[in-house]
Amino acid sequence: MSDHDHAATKHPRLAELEAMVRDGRIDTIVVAITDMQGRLVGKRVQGQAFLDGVISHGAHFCTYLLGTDMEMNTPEGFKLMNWETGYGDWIAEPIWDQLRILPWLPGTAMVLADTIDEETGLEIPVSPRTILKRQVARAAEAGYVVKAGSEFEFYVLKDSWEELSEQGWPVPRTFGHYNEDYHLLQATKAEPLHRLLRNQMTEANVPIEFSKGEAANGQHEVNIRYDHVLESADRSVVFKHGAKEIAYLNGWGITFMAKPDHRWTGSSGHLHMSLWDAAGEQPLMHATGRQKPGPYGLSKVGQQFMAGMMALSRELAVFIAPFINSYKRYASLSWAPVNIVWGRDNRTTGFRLVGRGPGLHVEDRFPGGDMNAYLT
Amino acid sequence: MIGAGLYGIEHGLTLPPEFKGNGYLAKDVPRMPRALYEAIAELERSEAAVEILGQDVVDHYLNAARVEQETYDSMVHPWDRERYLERG
Repeated sequence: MSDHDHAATKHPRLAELEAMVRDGRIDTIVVAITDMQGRLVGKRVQGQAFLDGVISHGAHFCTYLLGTDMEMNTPEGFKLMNWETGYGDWIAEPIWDQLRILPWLPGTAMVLADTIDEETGLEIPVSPRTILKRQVARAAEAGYVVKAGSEFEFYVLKDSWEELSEQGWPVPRTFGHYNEDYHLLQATKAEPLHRLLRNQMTEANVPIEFSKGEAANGQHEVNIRYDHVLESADRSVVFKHGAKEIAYLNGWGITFMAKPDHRWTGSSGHLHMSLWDAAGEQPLMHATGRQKPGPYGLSKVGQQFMAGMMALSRELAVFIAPFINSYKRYASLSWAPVNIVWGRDNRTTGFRLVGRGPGLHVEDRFPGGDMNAYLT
Repeated sequence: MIGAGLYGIEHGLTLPPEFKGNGYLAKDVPRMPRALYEAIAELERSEAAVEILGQDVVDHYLNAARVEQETYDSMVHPWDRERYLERG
């Protein structure tokens, strides 16, 4: 591609970013992919180097990032990356639609990336974002769009991660000393953090609807506005990463782990999901016209969609609850679900049917705060 | 879960009846795996997972889950010492 062609097809967000780097508003560009554990990993590109084209063909990263564990070890058994393959490089190809200016890091923009094999130009099939894209494509082939909205629960801590590490990871001291579910006074004590979270996330195109105190000491919840499921998952990974950065930079401890202590209420990552027509305009969960409505006005396809999720929750649990700790959250009478049943506005069931008419949708209550939104 | 929902549509699955009351007390219904071990065993035998995600993706994530489980199994935790150091 000649420079002329490149200029003609340049993504408007990329052009915007170049202008911001030229006038000095941005000097650092984070290029990030999401690993199997749901973490953002990548590089920080210097502003001038970015203008000079250092990532115009993507950023190189070592293949092991998609075949590692939480400790960044190089475990055996991954076909695509192992010592025999020499752990080469893949390319992180920026998705310019997913460019954000990060209000919490000075002079910094972040762009999410897809992972590409430079030899073939194909996406890496085991990459979490690619896995979700393939399911979105399957849905599109079948004539559907799926929309989703995430709710994340987390604990705000009095101890920083460093302090906890130095002390050998004791049970952290929570911010707050009583159950703060919907409790406005207790939530006010952590409001300096949550105001930043709501506003800076919204500014970074992760629109937040509300935050609230949750069902235990120091536990909070933030709800992200629903959208097409890929967009929703992009927002979720940026939210978790960004919330950790904002908390850390402002001197707060925070954790999204599913069950920080067996005496604590687990932290969830509830996923609200709905099925739409191919254009994403008509919701399909409720029966319309001559369709025979099921319970609570559910359409046939809406019932089948829920039935599929229920039928495969056990088999696909590894993708919903990937860690040892994830399963400790599934405790009876704990607000976290245990049984794969559904109920109307019932918080004791794994699947909770909420909304009515066009707003009818299902909340999957199984994912924890530790989930990888692309895989779930 | 999208893949699972589409699977439900493609295979015309029937939604089980609504559960009314305390879902924790539901009898004779499937429950989420109690531990990662159980989830690994479920995925190992799942034909639906291969149909939805492909064998390569399933193998990759099965390996990741096994690595996680084996790492945990090899560790000695404070709980072990609390329970067994004096009394064991």
